[in-house]
Amino acid sequence: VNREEKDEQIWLFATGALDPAEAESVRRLLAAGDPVDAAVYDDALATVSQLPLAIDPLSPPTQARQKLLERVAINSTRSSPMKKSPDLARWFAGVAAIVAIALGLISYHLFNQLKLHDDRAQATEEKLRTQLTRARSVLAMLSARNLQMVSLASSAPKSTAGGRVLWDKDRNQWHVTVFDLTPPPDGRVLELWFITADQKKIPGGTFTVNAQGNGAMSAKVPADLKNISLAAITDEPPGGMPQPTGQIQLAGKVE
Amino acid sequence: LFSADSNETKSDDYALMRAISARDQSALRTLYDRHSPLIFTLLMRILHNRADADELLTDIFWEIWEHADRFDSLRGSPRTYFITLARSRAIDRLRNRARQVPTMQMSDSPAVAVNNAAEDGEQARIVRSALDNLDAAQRKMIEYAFYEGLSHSEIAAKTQQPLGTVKTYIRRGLIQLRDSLRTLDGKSS
Repeated sequence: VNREEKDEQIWLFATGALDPAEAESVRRLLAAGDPVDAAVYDDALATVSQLPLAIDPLSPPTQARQKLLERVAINSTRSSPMKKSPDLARWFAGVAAIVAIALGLISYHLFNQLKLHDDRAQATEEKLRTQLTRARSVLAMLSARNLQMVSLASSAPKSTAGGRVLWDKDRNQWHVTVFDLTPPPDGRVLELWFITADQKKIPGGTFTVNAQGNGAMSAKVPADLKNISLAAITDEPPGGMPQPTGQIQLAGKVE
Repeated sequence: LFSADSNETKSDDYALMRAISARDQSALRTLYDRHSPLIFTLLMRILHNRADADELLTDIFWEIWEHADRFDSLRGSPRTYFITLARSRAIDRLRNRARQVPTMQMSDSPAVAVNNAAEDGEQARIVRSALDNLDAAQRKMIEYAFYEGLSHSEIAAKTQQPLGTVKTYIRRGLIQLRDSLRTLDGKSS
């Protein structure tokens, strides 16, 4: 098909003078997007659309305008989402309520989770701070120039339980570690005792051990306490006792 | 009655189509008031039935309202789009009606209204002058195609002219019409 034949088909198509099969062929031709074809078609349409201007004009019926505007107004009202139907509005309200409740529950759950995490974080922080303090204390003790070690042992036969006391004489502080010690029964704690040569027993503080029997504590040696000859650990009621009442778990002679 | 398709009006029509796309009902009212006389006249010319023309007029503006996005401003003016749309819908209805009432006779004088005197706009006068420059047979064939929806083979049968002659007549007539419109439009402006 040459250019002239194509132009003729396009002009006839714009006028509406083609048979259906030919019209379809031109539609495909125009859909191909050739700018020359498109320009010819636009030119032809602009020309034929002038034809009605030559007709004696008629006034359209007034009711046609009214009918159109009413149709537009009704459709606009119907297409408004919340006014479309009361059922739809109720449905939206129901969904909104469910979503609000769900969000509330989720928020409450998240709040509790965050609070729980916060509590756990605070506990962990406290535990770490305690461990850090203890580690610094041990480090300071190990670097002390005047340091004495006391070995602790169990009097029970075949017991592997034991412990050590590191005595920082410069700071007058004991750091006690124990291992393989049978945990005290529920409602009991371990208590450290400074025992002097004249058998005075001065409480040094309470502590516990874990399931493996390992534990540690630090204790300030009273400044006026002289002649410590023995270190002992007993099980006592919570809070400790002013004088030992329970069994001796570990003991060691201070040289 | 018809508005002239001046540059100012064209510019307004494009703005109105954009406003209609944005669901501006006042823009639709303005567009309707401006173009409904021309479209209704075209519908009456094709359908020769006032009730059908009334109904279709509403439907066409409804389609413009609902599918304003179909208008491509790069392909022509809004008025060209309206005319093309109205003609297409009217021809469809004419064919449906012909199928439903096979005995109905089509108008044998489609050009009757064209030569009637009319005191509308300058553009209408220009179009009439351009049509007057066409050969009577050419003009009649163009009108058969445009207003009656007849294909070139149907026009050939109706006018008892060879098919090739009909095609050539229509195409040459339209190109001559285009050139006349350009010339007359240039002289008037």
